[in-house]
Amino acid sequence: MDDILELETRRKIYDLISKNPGLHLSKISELLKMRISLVEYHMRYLEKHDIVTVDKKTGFSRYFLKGKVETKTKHYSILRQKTILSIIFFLIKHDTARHKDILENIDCAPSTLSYHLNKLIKYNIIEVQRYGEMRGYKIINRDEIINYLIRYKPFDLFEGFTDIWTEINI
Amino acid sequence: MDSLFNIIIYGFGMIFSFGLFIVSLFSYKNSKNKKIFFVSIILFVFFIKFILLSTSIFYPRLENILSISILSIFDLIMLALLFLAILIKS
Repeated sequence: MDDILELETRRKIYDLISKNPGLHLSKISELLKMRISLVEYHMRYLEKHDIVTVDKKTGFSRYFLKGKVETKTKHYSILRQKTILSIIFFLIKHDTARHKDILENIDCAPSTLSYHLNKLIKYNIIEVQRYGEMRGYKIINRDEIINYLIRYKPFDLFEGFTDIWTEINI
Repeated sequence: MDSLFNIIIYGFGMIFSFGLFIVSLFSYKNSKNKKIFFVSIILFVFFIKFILLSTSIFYPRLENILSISILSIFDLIMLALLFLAILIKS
């Protein structure tokens, strides 16, 4: 592995992803002050040599170190979506909340909220708690989520704009 | 009635294109990505086109100058820039 990471640039990228799993190309390029094309070239090299792995579930390419990443951490990348992040912030504040309570505080349609809640349940980020006939939603691992949110930057309009255009290629 | 419709359409077009142009400028400032630079120019041309269209409502003389072929040039420039933005590697 040392041979592959011999180049200082690759080591820098490796160290950055090691500290911040789930970063995307434009962010790596911005943090290392490198051209995206150069980062892309090195990422392809690192991917080919099984050093990094790419997750495209959220629609963007996010990079993780291979072997070191838990599936759960990969799933946390969905927290970068604005509505999902708002739901999580609400659940952090209120511990357990009903669909109705979340809906009153989040700006989205009931069906959209249900869709996002189901997605969060599917990824084991939240769980359903039943109180008689009532159902409440609760974050499974609150501390871990808080730690993740401290380390990662939430959705950014300008970053989102860059991501969309960067992904368009022939 | 027709004029009111044009004012609304051109007014919204001008605001939206200006808003998107500002977003693209900040995105370019942060990313220094060439693709975004081209997108910024496209949105700027869009903005200029809407400014000219809006102005033409109040200055009929400008309306005569802004023929379909002149407006088509704007569209062609935007399409060419869009093509470049897609073609270019980040």
